[in-house]
Amino acid sequence: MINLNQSSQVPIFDQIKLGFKGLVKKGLLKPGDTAPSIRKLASDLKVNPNTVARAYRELTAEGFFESSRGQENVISLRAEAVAGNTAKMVHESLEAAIKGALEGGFTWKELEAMIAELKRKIL
Amino acid sequence: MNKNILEIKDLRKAFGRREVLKGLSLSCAPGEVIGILGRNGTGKTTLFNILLDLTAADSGGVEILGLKPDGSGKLRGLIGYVPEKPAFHPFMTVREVLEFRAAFFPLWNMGKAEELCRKLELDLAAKTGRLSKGGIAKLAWIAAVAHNPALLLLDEPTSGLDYLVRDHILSGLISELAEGGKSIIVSNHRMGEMGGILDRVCLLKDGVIKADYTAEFVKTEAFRVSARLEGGLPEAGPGVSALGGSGPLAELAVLGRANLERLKADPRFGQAEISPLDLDAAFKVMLGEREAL
Amino acid sequence: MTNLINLMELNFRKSRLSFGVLLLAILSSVPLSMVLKAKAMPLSDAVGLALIFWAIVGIPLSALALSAISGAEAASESARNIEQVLPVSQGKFLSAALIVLLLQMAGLLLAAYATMGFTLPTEKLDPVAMQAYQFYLYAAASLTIYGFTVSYALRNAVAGAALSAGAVLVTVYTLGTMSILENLTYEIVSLTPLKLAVAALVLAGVAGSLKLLSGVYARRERLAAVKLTAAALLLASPVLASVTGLALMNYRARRVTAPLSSYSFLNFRERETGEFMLAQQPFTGRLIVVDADGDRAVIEPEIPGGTRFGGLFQEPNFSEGEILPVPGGGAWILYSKFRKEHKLLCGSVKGGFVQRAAINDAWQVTLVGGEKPGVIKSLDGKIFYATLTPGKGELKWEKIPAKSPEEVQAFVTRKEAGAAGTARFSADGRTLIYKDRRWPVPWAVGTKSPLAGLKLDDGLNFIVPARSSTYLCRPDGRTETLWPEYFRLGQNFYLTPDGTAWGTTLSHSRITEFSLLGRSLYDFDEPVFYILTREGKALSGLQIHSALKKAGEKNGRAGLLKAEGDTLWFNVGDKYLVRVSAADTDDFKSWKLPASVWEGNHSLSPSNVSASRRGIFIAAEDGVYFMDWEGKLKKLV
Repeated sequence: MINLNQSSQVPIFDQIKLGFKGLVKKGLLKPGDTAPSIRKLASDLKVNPNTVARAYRELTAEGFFESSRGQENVISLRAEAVAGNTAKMVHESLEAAIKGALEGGFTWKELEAMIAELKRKIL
Repeated sequence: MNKNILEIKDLRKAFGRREVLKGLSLSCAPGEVIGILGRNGTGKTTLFNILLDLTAADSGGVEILGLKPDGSGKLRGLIGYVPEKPAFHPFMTVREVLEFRAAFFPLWNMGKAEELCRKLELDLAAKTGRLSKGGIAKLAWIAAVAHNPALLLLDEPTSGLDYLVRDHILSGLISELAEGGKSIIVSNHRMGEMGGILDRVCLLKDGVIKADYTAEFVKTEAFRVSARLEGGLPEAGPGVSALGGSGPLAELAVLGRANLERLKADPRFGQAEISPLDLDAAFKVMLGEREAL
Repeated sequence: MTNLINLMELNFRKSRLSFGVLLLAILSSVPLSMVLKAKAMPLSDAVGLALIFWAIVGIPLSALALSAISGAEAASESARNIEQVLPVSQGKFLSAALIVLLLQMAGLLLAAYATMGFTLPTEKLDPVAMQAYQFYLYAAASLTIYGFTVSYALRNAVAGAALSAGAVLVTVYTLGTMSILENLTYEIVSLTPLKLAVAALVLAGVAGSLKLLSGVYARRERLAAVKLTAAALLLASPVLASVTGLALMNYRARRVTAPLSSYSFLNFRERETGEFMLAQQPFTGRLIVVDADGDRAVIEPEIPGGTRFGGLFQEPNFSEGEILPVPGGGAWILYSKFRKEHKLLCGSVKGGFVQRAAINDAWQVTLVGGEKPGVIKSLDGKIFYATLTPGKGELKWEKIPAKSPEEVQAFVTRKEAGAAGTARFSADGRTLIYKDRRWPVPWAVGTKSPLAGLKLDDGLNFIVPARSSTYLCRPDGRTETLWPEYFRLGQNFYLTPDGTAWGTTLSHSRITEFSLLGRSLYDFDEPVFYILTREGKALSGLQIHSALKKAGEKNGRAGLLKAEGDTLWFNVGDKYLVRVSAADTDDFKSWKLPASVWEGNHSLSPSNVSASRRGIFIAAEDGVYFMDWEGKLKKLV
């Protein structure tokens, strides 16, 4: 379900969160579905259960999972919105940055070169 | 947090004139998962034997779960140990082995042992002399965790086992972690497969813990640098080692963000291609490193 | 504790096969022997053979096999790999293995016992066989413990079995031979502490060495060489102890001295021994004569080599002999190492002795004293006498016409009386006649024999035994009744070197003693002394109770050595020299004599103490001593 990149700069628990959001976006997980238990997911992904536990905690706090008792790790009705929100947040910051650059006189070519350089740097 | 469950200070052991451990220090906090990385014959087994109160140290302090090794073997009752080459009395069946062990470990949970046998598909009635290598490994694992020890000491728990059995063992490890309160010290020749569970990696070299990296570090600060260099390789600075390459194309491994920045500052690496180094490659580099970072 | 039991169960399981085979072998040996025996052999013999096989070969070999295998296994790599995971110390592992071994051996012994029908003929065993039985059990137990430990030490079953068998054999053989020797002769080294020490060393040695060895082998402790050496020494200690005991015994045995017994065919003897003592060293074969100044003459030198008892000691050899002093300082010596070969020597301590003659045809030869000493022998029922003349030349033997013992005795009495002559009785036996004197002795007994006189200060007196009393016939013609007891000079009336005559009767009593262990009752035989001093004073019914009690002498062995005025010296039990005031016998002074090995061992043995005028000689366990009348002790040899 979720692919992890052990060597990525992005922390594992973040990757797990993003992974769930991606699944909901693609429609593979729908509201009302139960996510696998911490133990099962940790076992499947071969990661420390603490890491999975943290991801689940934060997903619950963000409203991606249901927070009521008896309904733990259930994809909530707002999940799509949350997933969408995140994507939307990223989209909006990018848009703002690029618009500002273009308005400041940067060309698309320069922007693409910058992105390539950033790809090297941010790693 | 609470006191460390394991505290080793300046441990020394020599066999005749051959010094194996030369002042090794290591500590482990409750719930930590530590990987021991070291080449064969560098003292890993000796270290484990001393921790298990099987071999007497020459000098140095060892305290595990509040006990010191004193020859009485009490420590072994608190540690779940999977040896590198587990062995059992060939005439005993799996059930007999578990029942025999149960008598010696007061916290033994026979229900858990039977459940694990079922999950791992280990036949309780099979004679251990007839078990395959995978079966022996499963039995050794079950025997180690059935008494719910606070510390697990695993010596190459997956070596020589097929994918499926390895998977079982790793899942089992994660299960134990999920139950909480367990610390794990594991040595593995393919440490990469445990990348997801490790908290720290300790490099055992020259009879001491030469380097102690967090898992975070290994995942986020190990880089592969490919560059076109005229005039050969630069001198290896700290954290930089050659990975390969042919002709003008050089491939380097760099550990540590600071070292990477330094390299990037070098004009020859202006157009270098930088990508993250996978865990196994990173561990291999650490093993071969001549100096610490 | 449960851990230990679990480990023991494991050990039982591991050795099921070997133990089962041995058990089956034992249990089936009797029926098998009955089936497989040769047609001609009687059934009981076949069974006996099977049992003997097991006793001598089977059980010890089983002990070795089981223990060696178990020991080598305990040290093996595989055992450690499988069992080291358990939270149990090495000590527990080894203890479990050892306990199981001992239980298995006990099982095998029980099976052997069962095949014998659950009876052991221990009631019929004499002390020597009983000791052999004890040694056997000790050997079986120590083979088991030792076999395990040595196999563990060498990490090899075959080497371990061989070495431990050797060690146990040496110990058992050494201790066994020492035991047998002491049963046959006397105690030279107290064996009970030695045996206990050896047994304790086996246990301690095994325990200590196992601890050291397991530290080095299992835990790879430091100072391995030191610990291994210490373990080897601990294991060798019982063997070393028994060998040391043997060496000590040999050393002490060589120094043991004993008097020579004199087996005379003449009934009545009273003999002066002069101012020297004839003594022997039974374990070296040496015969010597010593005087009070410490000078000595060697009669027989040490036997080089000699016959070895069990290969470990010189066999003791006891010579018989007597020494006859000659006026002027010399002496005649007659002795024999082997019954028929008698050697006659003459000479002096300071000048040495030379052989005068050898008498090899008669079993019974003895010296005759008096002014002209002689020698008498009994050959084919005939009695021969020769005068002892120094110098060379054969002895001139003449047959004497005496036939009955009384006649022989009369002949000897007359010879020993010499020029002074003997007294005789009147035909009706009621008058004693000596030269021109006569004494009335109405109830005298033994009136057919001549009577030798007793030299006192007032001249030649005669002691005449009567039916229930003793007469003293004085030179002035008086006859006194001395004591209401019967005494005959030479028979139960003796002379001390200083000429005091004395005799005893025995008073028997039962003594109750209270001690920490309660009340104990024992028989106390006490000598009652009757003494006639040189001055002619007669002491009647003297008892030295306090001195006897101090010496712990319950069997009434005490003798008079010297009388001077009112003071008397006694030898109490060969243990103490006691000086007593005749007026008050509770006022006494005693000096302990050096210990002799012959104390109380043989009721017929001669005393180790030989009296002379200047003091007493003691043939002690480490040499010949001389003690003067003030209790000053000097070692002579």
